[in-house]
Amino acid sequence: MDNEYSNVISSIRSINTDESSSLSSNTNEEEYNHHTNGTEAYSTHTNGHDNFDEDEDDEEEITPAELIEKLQQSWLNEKFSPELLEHKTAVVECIIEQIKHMENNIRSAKKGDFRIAIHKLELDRIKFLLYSYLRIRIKKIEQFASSILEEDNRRPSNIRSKLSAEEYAYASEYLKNVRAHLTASVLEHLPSNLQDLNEAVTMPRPDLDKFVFLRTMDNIKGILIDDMTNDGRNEIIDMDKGDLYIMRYNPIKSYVNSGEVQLI
Amino acid sequence: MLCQKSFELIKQLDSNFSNAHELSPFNEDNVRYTFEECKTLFAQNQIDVQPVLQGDNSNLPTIQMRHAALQRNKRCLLTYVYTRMNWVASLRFELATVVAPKHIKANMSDLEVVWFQKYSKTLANYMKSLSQATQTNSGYIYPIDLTQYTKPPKSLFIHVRCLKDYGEFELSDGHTVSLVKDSQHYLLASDVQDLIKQGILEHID
Repeated sequence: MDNEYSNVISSIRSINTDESSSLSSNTNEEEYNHHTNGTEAYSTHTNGHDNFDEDEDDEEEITPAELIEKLQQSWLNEKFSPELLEHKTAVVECIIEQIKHMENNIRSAKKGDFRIAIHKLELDRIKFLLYSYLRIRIKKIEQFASSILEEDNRRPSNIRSKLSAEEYAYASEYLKNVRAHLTASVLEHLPSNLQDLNEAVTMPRPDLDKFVFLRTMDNIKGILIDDMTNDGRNEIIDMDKGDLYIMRYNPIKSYVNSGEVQLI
Repeated sequence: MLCQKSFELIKQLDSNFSNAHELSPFNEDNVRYTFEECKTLFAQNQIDVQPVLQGDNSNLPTIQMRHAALQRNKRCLLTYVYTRMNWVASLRFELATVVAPKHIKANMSDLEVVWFQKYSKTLANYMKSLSQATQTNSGYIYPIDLTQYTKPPKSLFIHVRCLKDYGEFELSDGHTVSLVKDSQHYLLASDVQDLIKQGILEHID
């Protein structure tokens, strides 16, 4: 009896110490290091500057809870926005780092500890968020492959690509396969004047005028809402922090990327 | 009537996807017929366009009508192929397998089989590059399989019932269970996701 008891105590303690190292101080540093590596690589890659990066650079401490919250926000935004948003490289990399840590902790924890189950479930939830985020992006990339790539190739060099390097490779290969399939199945059997796929017309594009639900995370002044009729009856509105709106995506799309607006 | 067969293709799509896990056979006959129709229309237009070039416009409405029919045929064919193509690609996620089940594969055209292989390969490359990009100095690669975790996890373990005889199945902790038809088990949800997708196990509450 005594023996068993001390076993449980020591295993709890071991998880506890693991915990504190993985979930607080230790990883903060690592995360941050890892993170700066990530952004450096990014800025040399694209020479791009953007709010998110700068925010992150100033932010020396980010707790795992905040990190998960960031992932959750990115996931929701991506889920509800009609177009592909910027890839949150830093968040994704940090989360994967976290997952690795947690898996290691679970592996090194003693068998039969009841905390393992709770941690595994938590881990499953995080993985679901991450995978779902990446999946939603992949679906969008597939659906709008030709317009996304076209936009990406047209973008000035000082603007950061919405795609990660891996996603760019995926999009190019995917589009190549689609073209090959459509050509072999249909186009090459048609008379010569109909063999052009004419992607600008035939391939789907995101509907930026879709209505979205959103919450404002900050006070935003002077959002220009055009009424789409060229009557000049445009409206300028101010939004207060914490307000809820249902409106067209297009007028607020720049605020989604900067994090001032959260889609819900 | 012109464009009838190509329109039938579109109607067929509609009935096809009401049933989630079935693909109707690739309608080779209608597709071929439509190609022939296009060739005929095109040839007729080539002949009729000659007087127009000479300045005689009496054929113009006929030519325009045929041209519209051609455009419509093209659009229907592309839609048919494109929609099926996306459906086939979605199998990769729904069944979490790189091999299409036999009854579905039988209804795919040769090109669609090739497409599915290519798609799986492209996706595999992406997932591999994703795992490698996150490789740390320790050299530990975290494998990312996006076909996993498709549903928000409610609990770690779930009750499942076997719908088919499967045999021995190895769990992630090294233990094996024997999956016999109609037996019930209480297993790790992440272990059995694939088997549920493949219809071998059923999730019961």
